[in-house]
Amino acid sequence: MDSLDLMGIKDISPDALIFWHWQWVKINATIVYTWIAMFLLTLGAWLATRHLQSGRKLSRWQNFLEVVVQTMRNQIRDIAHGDPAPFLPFVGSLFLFIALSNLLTIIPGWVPPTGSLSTTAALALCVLVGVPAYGIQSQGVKNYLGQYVKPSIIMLPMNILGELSRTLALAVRLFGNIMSGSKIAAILLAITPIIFPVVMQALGLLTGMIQAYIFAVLAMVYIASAVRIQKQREQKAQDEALAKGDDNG
Amino acid sequence: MLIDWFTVAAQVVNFLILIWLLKRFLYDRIIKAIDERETSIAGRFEEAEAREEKARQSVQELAAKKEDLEAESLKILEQVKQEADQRREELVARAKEDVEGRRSAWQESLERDRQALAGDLARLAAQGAAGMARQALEELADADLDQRALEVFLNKLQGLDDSARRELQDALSASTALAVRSAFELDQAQRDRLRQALAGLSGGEVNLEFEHAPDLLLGLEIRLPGRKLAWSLEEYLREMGQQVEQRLERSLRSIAGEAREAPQEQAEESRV
Repeated sequence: MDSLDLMGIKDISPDALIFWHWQWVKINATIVYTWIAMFLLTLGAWLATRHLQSGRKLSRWQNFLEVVVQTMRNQIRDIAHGDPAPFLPFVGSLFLFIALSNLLTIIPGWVPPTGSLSTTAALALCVLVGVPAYGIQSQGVKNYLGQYVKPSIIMLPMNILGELSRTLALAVRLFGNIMSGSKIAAILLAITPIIFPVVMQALGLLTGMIQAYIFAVLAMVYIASAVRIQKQREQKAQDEALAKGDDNG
Repeated sequence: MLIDWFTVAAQVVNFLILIWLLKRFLYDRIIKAIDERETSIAGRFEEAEAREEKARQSVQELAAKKEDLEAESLKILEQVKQEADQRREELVARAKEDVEGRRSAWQESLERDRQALAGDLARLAAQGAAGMARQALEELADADLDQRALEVFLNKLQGLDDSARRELQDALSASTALAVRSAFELDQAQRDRLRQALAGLSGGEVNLEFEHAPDLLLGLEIRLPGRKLAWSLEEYLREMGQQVEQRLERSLRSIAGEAREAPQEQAEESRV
């Protein structure tokens, strides 16, 4: 209801809710709520990791964060088939930010920044840049760019289109899910204010978490596919070395 | 237009800042803590393994030491046992020796006593017999008997062996008088007969000195240097006494020998 107060039911994007602007610079609801989410994440991380224990006794928050971080690392390891360390900050932050933004919709008055196409587009752009960045870092410019003309030069436009379209899909999928969830909740509140919106809110939480997971996993899959060729080559060399070692042994 | 490009740019920047913040405050710290804990756990495991290994080693060492101690104690026990056995055997041997010594001493003294007693008895018996004979002969002795004794003595002079005869001749030819002892007083005729017989042996005059010796009981004797020519009852009696004594001695000795063997057999039986 507060969210309704803040954002009209007709407002599709929180971008439209501008608190302050000077020429083309403006502070809208998307940016402000992003800052809040960022602040909460950082504050939670700082509070939990302030007195980190490497001994036997753990604080509950540290334990919780360790579980979260370890789970993310395991997921990344499963997808990348390798060390999760280089991907964790990027993919983990995507998941944590989106998950928190979606999770906080349970609080009245919260405007999820992920319900703004600008935010999701920004995140998708980050993935769009991040994928070749990881690919080039792993394989070098030539090898990475060479992938776009495989199996033939004819595939180049297709590959580029595919890259762009999946970025677009990332952005729109998240935006559509979250925005529609918020709108449906708002509309249902107007129609049947009791019980039913609660169910929809719960469903929205589930959707929000799933969307966070999907976004992060897809980003990781894209990055992994860019990195994998190199990995496969390394793996092959490693296997051969091992086989040789076994023969010698 | 749903996309506001300024907002997009701002969100990109925001997201990059968020990545940096989370990396700074969350991932690095948490991963470091996890790694540290894993390292410490691994270290603790290693330490535990090392400690276990050490404990196992010390257990083995203790077991070996225990075995050594047991072996040593067994050895000492064996040694002590041996020493005790040896000591016991020594004591038993000494006791046996002691007993044996005492028994043999006792036996010897017993034997001595018995022999002394037997000797005394034999001597008494011989002396008694001789005394009885002497008594009887003293009572029987008379002139006829003396005459017979002289006859026997003269016969004996005739039957002398060569060496005795030579000795007698040497003694007779010497200047000193030859002593003739007789149990009875020789009358002149008897003296002449004797002088004649001796002169016949030596082939010249003989110088004789007659002496009355009643202790001879019967008969007479001539003392040469280193030799005695005699026929007298005293002589017989002495010889008889000697023979009786010898016989007694022999039989006593054989009895004593049997007596000595008997206790030994008894001792052997008791030892078995």
